[in-house]
Amino acid sequence: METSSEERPIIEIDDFSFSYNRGETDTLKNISVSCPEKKVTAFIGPSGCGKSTLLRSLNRINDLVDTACITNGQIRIMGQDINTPEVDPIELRKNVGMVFQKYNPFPKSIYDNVAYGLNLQGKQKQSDLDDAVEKSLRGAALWDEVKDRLKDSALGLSGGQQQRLCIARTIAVNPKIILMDEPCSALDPIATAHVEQLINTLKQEYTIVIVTHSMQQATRISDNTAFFYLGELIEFSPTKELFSNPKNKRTEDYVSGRFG
Amino acid sequence: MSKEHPFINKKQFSFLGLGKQDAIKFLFGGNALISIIALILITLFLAKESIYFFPDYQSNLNIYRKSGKEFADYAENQLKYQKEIKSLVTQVKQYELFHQAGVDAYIPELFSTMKTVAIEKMTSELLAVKIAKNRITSKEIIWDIWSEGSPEEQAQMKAQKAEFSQNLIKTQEALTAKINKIAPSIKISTLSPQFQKKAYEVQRQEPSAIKTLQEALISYFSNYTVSTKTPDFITQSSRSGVEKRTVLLQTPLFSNLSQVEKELTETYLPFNAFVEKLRDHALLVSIRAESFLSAADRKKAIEEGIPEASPEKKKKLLIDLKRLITEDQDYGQQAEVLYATLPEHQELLSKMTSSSHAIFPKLPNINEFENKGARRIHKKLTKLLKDYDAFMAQQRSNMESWRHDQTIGFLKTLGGFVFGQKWISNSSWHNFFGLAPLFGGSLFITLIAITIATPFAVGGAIYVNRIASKAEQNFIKPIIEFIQAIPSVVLAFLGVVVVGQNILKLSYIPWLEWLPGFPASGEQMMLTAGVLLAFMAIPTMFTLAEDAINNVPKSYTEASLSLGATRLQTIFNVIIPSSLSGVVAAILLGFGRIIGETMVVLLVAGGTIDWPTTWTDPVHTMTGIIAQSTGEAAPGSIQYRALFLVGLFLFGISLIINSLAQNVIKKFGSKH
Ligand SMILES: Nc1ncnc2c1ncn2[C@@H]1O[C@H](COP(=O)(O)OP(=O)(O)OP(=O)(O)O)[C@@H](O)[C@H]1O
Ligand SMILES: [Mg+2]
Repeated sequence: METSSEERPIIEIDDFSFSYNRGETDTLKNISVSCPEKKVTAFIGPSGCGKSTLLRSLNRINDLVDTACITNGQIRIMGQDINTPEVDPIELRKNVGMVFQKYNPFPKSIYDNVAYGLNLQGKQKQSDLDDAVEKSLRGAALWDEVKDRLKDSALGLSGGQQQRLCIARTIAVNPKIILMDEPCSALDPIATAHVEQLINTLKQEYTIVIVTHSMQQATRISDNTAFFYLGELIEFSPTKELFSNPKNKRTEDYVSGRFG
Repeated sequence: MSKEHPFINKKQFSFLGLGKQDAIKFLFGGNALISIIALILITLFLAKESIYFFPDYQSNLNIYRKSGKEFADYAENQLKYQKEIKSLVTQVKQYELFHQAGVDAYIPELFSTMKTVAIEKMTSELLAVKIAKNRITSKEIIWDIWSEGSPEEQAQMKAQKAEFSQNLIKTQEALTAKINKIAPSIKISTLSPQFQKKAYEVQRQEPSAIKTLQEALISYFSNYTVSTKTPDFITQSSRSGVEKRTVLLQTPLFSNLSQVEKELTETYLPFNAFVEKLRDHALLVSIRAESFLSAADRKKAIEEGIPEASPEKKKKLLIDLKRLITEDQDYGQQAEVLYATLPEHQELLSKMTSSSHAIFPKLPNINEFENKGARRIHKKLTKLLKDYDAFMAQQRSNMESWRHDQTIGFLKTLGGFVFGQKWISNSSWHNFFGLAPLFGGSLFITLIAITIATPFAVGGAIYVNRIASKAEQNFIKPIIEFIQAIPSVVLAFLGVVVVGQNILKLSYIPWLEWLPGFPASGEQMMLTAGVLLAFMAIPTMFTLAEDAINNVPKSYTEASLSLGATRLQTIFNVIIPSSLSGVVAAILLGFGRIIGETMVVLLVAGGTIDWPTTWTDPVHTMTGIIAQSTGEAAPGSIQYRALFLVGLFLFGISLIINSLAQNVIKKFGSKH
């Protein structure tokens, strides 16, 4: 698998298989993908092919499913196999944040939403907290819109603002990696443009893995793209290459819109 | 041709001129209407029956005043206060005496009650022993004669003697076997309640005492045919108990207390006689007042009966008619008698108080008492003494300002019902219907139950919904919901037998004594009822809380975990706040469920009508009083109406709580 960076990739998915039903059937089959640091990696593929499943394996949020299990391979993040017993999923998730398809701010104030992750880590100085909240909201390009109503409920914001608030909430805990599962699918084109712009700035500091259904979005924001089909990785290459010159027939069909 | 159009319904269903849709609408609408009408009828019925309570109660209270019962009660209050002081002194003395005399003081008493229990359980074995013994004693004279008789007679005597004594040995063996079997089962909890308290006290001071007593029982009955002498250590401790007590009573502390006790009794004897006089007078006036009030009704009833009655009966009825009090007495004149006693009262009162003030300083200081119970009562006593002068003066001034002709208005009547501290029916003195103690009982039991049930129900709901695996969920949920199927009378039964006993035992554990209200005075108390009702409320509260928690989107959990929260942090920071309205509604509905519960409180709350002061007090409740006295109250009587009013009150509380819960859900629920 060819990557554009010479350093060791921050995420290494190695021959990874995953099952939702105690290994009866594999939802993901022998996937190998590496995501280089401070780049955007896009996962594309038809519905139900396992993109979300793979993404959710990266911060072990799939642990919530009782019957889920890894049936083969491993995932290494910053060189560490994340599924060994020594790994604390809490610490892992502090470093691997996640933004969901349907924006889901807590029914709290805007301020409390952003401060949530920091407050979990114990008592903070009020001034530190204020600074972090402002920095995160600026980072998510939301500060100017909400700075006068930080104490208002987050549920009063527009959809696009709520999604950016979720991004602000995620970057507030200062992760290395941000996972995004179709972050724009519930947004209108203008809000989508806002979020895409944001992703382009965020990648200077964070490694981003994004699931998307929009080819255009993938070409606009990602450096590398992985195409999945029925739980298998079909092709993984630099984005430009994958779209202009797909090696696999199925990739070609999909990106040219002939199925999916 | 319009019939051919596809939109036109060809087969028109019709019933009483209604279309199909209309019929369905009316069917369901009708059901709803019936429920609403039923609700309105119930409310009206309750209201109609209870509204008459107020005029009745008003006249009842007015008689209380007019007749001078109120006046007499002020003096009676003073007397009671005085008597209470004396009784507390006695209690202090008793507690301390038994404490200092030690276990010995109780041992003989306990042994004899345990023996009684054992005898009840071994009636047939004991009877056999007695018969065997009797046979021997009845033959003894004959054997004496035979022993000097012929050789045949002597042989017969020997044979008979051997057989009879063999028989006696056999019965003794059976008895021994039996006592060995049952002795361990004669425990504190099998004794009658008045001994249980003493038994626990003994066990506290001497943990092995009960065991020793059981062994004593065994040895006593194992030698039953030989001797029925009480075991030595028992007689000894009895003797030493008496000796110790006699010695103790000579010490300055106890002789002082006895002296105070005696002198205090002497202070109120003349006053007591005076109060009796007042009461007799007032009672007579009130009886006449009541018969005058009912005379009109009775006159009507008799007059209606006369035309149909036989000549003999007619005569009787006519006499009855003449006897009816048709003219009201002169209350002013009667009251004059009472007003005239004021100087005498003043004189007797100042005699009583001044001699009391001479006695109070002789009371030993609290530090001279070792026993916790004695100290507790001493504190109560000190408080009574502190308020003594103020109380006496207050009652005196009440008497001075008392006017028999100051009638009681509607508001006072209402206040007398709502805030009245007494609920007394069938009294030989005066009936009162005050809601406060019943309301207090209901309220505090409910609060105890809610406090206990909330953590279990909410914790359980969180666990089942957010932590448990599918298999656990399928196991736990039906079990909790199954509790609801237990009939409340069964639960109440369980409460009397198991819960009350164990709480009582618990309250005697020395290191728990710092808790307020411990040790408890009996197994029936607010706490017992609260525990049981909590158990009953858990399923309702659990189901509703689980629903509320289930409504919190899974994505909140995922978002929280993705930010590095632990499961516990997620529960406390996101899930509980987001479902709070539903959880509060669950608690409120649990409250409504508990306050209306009857069977359990009737059987285990204790039935004492008094405003509770601590959680181990026995109480009566609003539901309990209705269930208990509806049967004995004559329809139309004031008591009957009072019960309906309590029912209306309960109904109102339930209504308010339900609408509160619904408001909470509407206002704060469904935000997500
Ligand atoms: N919690 C779960 N338990 C069992 N099966 C699941 C679970 N979540 C997803 N699946 C199954 O795993 C497969 C992959 O699902 P996944 O959500 O990863 O697909 P996806 O590529 O993200 O699809 P989409 O583009 O529609 O979001 C699907 O067949 C889905 O039904
Ligand atoms: Mg998906």
